[in-house]
Amino acid sequence: MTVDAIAAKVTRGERIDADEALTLYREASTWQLGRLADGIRARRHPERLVTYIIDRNVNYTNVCVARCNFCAFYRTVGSPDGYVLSREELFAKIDETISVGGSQLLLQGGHNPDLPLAWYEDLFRAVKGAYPTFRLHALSPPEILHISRMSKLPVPEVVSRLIAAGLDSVPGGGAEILVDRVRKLLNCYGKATADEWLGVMREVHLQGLRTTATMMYGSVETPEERIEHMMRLRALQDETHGFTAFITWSYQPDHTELAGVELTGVEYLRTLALSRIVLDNFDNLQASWVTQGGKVGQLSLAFGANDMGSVMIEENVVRAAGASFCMDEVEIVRNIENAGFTPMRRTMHYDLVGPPVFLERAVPRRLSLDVAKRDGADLMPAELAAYEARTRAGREQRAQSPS
Amino acid sequence: MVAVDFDQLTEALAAGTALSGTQLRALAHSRDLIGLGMLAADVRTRLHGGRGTFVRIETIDVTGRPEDAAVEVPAEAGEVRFMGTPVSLEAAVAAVRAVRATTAVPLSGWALDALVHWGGSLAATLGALRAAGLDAVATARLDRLDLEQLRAVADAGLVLQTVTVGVPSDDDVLLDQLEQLRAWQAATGVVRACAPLPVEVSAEQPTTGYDDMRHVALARLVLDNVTHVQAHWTRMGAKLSQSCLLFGANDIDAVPARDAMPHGPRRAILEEVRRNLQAASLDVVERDGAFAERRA
Repeated sequence: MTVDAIAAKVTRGERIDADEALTLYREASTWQLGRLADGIRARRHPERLVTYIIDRNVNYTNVCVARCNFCAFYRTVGSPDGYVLSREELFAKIDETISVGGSQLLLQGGHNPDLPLAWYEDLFRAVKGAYPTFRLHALSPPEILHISRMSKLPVPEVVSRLIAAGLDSVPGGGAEILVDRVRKLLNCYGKATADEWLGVMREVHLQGLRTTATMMYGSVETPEERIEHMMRLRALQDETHGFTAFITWSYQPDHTELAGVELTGVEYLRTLALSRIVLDNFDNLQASWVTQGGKVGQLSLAFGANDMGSVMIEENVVRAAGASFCMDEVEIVRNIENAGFTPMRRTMHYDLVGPPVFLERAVPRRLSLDVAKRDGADLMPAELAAYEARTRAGREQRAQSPS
Repeated sequence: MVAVDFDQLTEALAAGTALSGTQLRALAHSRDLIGLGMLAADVRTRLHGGRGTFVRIETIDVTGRPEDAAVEVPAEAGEVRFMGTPVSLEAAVAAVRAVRATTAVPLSGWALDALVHWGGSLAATLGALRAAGLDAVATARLDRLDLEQLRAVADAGLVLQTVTVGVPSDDDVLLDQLEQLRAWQAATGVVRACAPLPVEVSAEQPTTGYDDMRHVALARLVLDNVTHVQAHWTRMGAKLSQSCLLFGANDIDAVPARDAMPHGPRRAILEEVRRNLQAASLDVVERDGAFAERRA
């Protein structure tokens, strides 16, 4: 089928298959892709609202046994740079988040074998006890799988225990490319196969929570594999309707084992636009200004995105790999309005919360992102002593910690 | 919101008809960024086909430069560009002469509004630099430019490599400035390129991607007598430079001729420039300071 025929199909609101998606990606101009994606965005969101959320991207630990070769953030077990956040630190981050109008933590971390399921449950309960209405958007599917494996409990039981402890929704991290050939090359097949990632998401949806879905493109995958990733997400969404949004970003190579080069901004816009066209059962597409910068991030709104993601406050993972863009609420709102849209705060479920916080009260400008651990802070909190460490290094660290 | 008949404008441009001020202002106020970008990209394609050019430059700062400073122009440089404040016109002339003696690549230098303040008449200054071997004035800011300056450039036998925009402005002000530049160019013909993004931007409130791209596209549509619309690699970086190519620019200026390649050859600046041009669906062509193709 020709590009024009496929474009006509998309314009009529019909679903395209993988071959047609590949033809579009390979042969359509960037303008054609943008036009089609923008048309779908306009049909789905005719009110011309562009949403965003104020939350904080907190990484509770950087210790990880997964060893994905595209990651510059993780530290091995026993590393002198390895850390776990204390509850006191986490609560301070929540307080700061609330002070700028935020209502949620995006809480993710490494696959730390020395943190048992009880540590997560206690943490979630402590947060909910101190901040009952604060939302926990936490633990990507590979983390849930890791906890399941370490605790020797099936995924459904782990999910239900985490929900009982306070889990509100699950972020779509760790998807990378949902094709096992790619996952083996990225050394992330062991942390979760494509089926396992989708299986955890299916289970989470079945237990009533909503999740997001992501795609990290531009490492070792082919265009066909990118499209296969989208097709697998689309199929699960048909089945569960559990995904609230899709976010794609480019592989960030700095300081990673895999190294290589980052794909360009135009390739990001093409991939984003194709996502909007293929993922016809996803309501929301986020702009990844964190990896693309504010300018290409804003241009995303012309290429299919209807959401500017998060006023991040803190980010550690992408920054470790070379990207360090920052936009506070003032800047995000300015970009949305400048593009001709109306800005609106939302929840993770995309319920509208209201107009920008800074229009209602004074909020300090934030022109740089915070980091996980402040300089001089203890890397391993004493409270970990209450939990049994699995590794020798973990046991030794806990033995040395003041009780 | 302003409704624009893009099909009609596309046909008009394809027929070689310049857009009217009313049409340009309607475009500037349209929400359809993609429609605007497509128009500008069409014009770029008609002017340059699928070519996307870039130039590697060697920069020489004459500020405090000793008269007997060694001159070594790397073979990679397609242009030598002088900058900085010399102690005197004679020192600048000596610097140009010294470099001219070592290389045949085009030499450009300084900002036109700076040359005005070197003392003496602009014509005398430009004449002396031309006699020493300078080929072009490197740059001029649109908000500090006037017709007399451009005539002085022409009278000296020089050209003006690039006209930039000084500070951010709204669409109507920019359009007024661009239309003025088009009229001056019609009178002098000395402007080789326009880099339509502001050189002075606030860190706290930078220009937005939409504004930048609208301005690049408008520049391409207005300046039908200026051959090249440029991005500036050093000032803008890869993502913004490439976005400009999408919205009507055809050239990347100011790629450094020297690269220590701290991240290895695959991530060399030259490779990154090539990748960005190719990913913007352009055929990569390296040029020199006279906009002539360089061959390996």
